[in-house]
This record gives sequence, C-alpha cells and structure tokens, in this order.
Amino acid sequence: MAAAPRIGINNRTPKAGEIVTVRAMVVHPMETGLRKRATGELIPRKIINKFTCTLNGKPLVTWNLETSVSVNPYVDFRFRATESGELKLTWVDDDNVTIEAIEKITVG
Amino acid sequence: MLKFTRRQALTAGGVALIGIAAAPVAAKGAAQQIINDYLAGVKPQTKAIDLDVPANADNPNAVHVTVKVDSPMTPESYCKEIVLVAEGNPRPLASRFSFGPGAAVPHVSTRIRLAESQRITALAKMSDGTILTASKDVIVAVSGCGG
Repeated sequence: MAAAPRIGINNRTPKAGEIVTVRAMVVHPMETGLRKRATGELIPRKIINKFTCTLNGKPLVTWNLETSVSVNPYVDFRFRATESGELKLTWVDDDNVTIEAIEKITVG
Repeated sequence: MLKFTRRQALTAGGVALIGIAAAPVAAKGAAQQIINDYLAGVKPQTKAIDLDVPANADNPNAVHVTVKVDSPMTPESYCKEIVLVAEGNPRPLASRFSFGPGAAVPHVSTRIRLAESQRITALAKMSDGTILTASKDVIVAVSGCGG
C-alpha cells in the first residue's frame, strides 16, 4: 500500500515508571463518503476505522476513527514504561487493508 | 398586487433565516443524541479532564485536539474510554479511544476536520462509572469538508 507509517517515540530506553509518548501518522485519504464527484455521484467512504497499539500483545490504546478524523490520521498517546518488549501498531481501513509497524522498547 | 409593509417584510425575512438555520440545528440534535446515549442517565462531572482545542481553527482540515484525563490508572481506578464529539459535523462522533487497564495513560491527541464553527465535547468514562466532560468552542472561517 502506501508509504510506511511515521512513528516517533520520545524515549525508546525509558526507566521503569517513566511515561513514554508515541506519535504516529499514516498516509490515507480518509474519504468521508459525503463528497460528490463532478458527475454528482457520491465518492464511497474509505477511512481507517481502527487503530490499535499493543505492548507484548496486551492492549494499550484502541482508537475507533470516524469520518471526522483528518486525512493522513495522526495520533499521539502515552503509556507508563513497565516492561521491555514490542510495541505493535496496527491500522485497519474500510477495505480491511492493514498497516502494521513494530517498535522496540527497552526499559532500563 | 401585493404590498409589503416594513413589518411584514421583516417577518418574512426572519422566517427565511430560521429555515436556513434549521440544517445545522439538526446536526446539533444528532450530537446531543450521541452525548445523551453515552451518558445513559449519568450526570457528567466537569473536573479532572482537560480538552485543548485552538479557539480559531486556522486550517479546519486538521484541527489538533488534545484530551487529558487526570486518573491514577490503577487496576481499581482508571479511565476506560475517551470520546470526542464534533457537534457541528455531519457525523458528530469523531473518535473513541479505549485504554487497556495496564500501562496506558489517558492523554491523547489527534487531528480532526471541522465543517463549521462549533462546539467540541470530550467525554471520559471512568472504571467506577463516572463520566467526565469538557467542551470548547472553535471558530472555523472556511469549512474543512471541501466538496
């Protein structure tokens, strides 16, 4: 699909208990289904409707996106560093196209 | 031939204005419905939640919205969900964030598009069933739903 997601993590090697901020953006048209082509027909809806982030398989944040979310959806969220492991970020759109990214966190 | 007095002309104009205003009112009704459904009879509290939205949306295609809930995030007391409602958008429910009971911190940002000047409302559902709410008005000069 499109370009790889852009992910920023403010601290990949946090101390235990520190708060880590994750910022993530993917390229996606987020077509609302409310717009019309010049010919008058509606452009079908195609948005990313779900984003999840898990740490070692345990859910941190689930984001249900609606049509109001901007083109190239951006999100930032925070979690408390408790264990080292893999952050898995997943985006799913209306056509079930899935974008995945994995980031490593090492708690020192 | 019809002759309008000044008063009749003003009344007719007023009726026409109400007709024009009816469309956004309908959208706001939908937003109120979403909020009422979410509250399900619980009286929301306006403390321990912070909603940050610019007062003027310079670019209504991407308005940065931040919600922060003050919660200890222990297994006994944590924030389960944050819901964002853009009350004047064609689809007012803008986003729902759910947090795992473990390490998540209820502090999120995203970018939404706004169709017109409107009120943004954030609702946060806590583990004990209380609901927190905050609202901010945003002025939009140009619509962000370019069609």
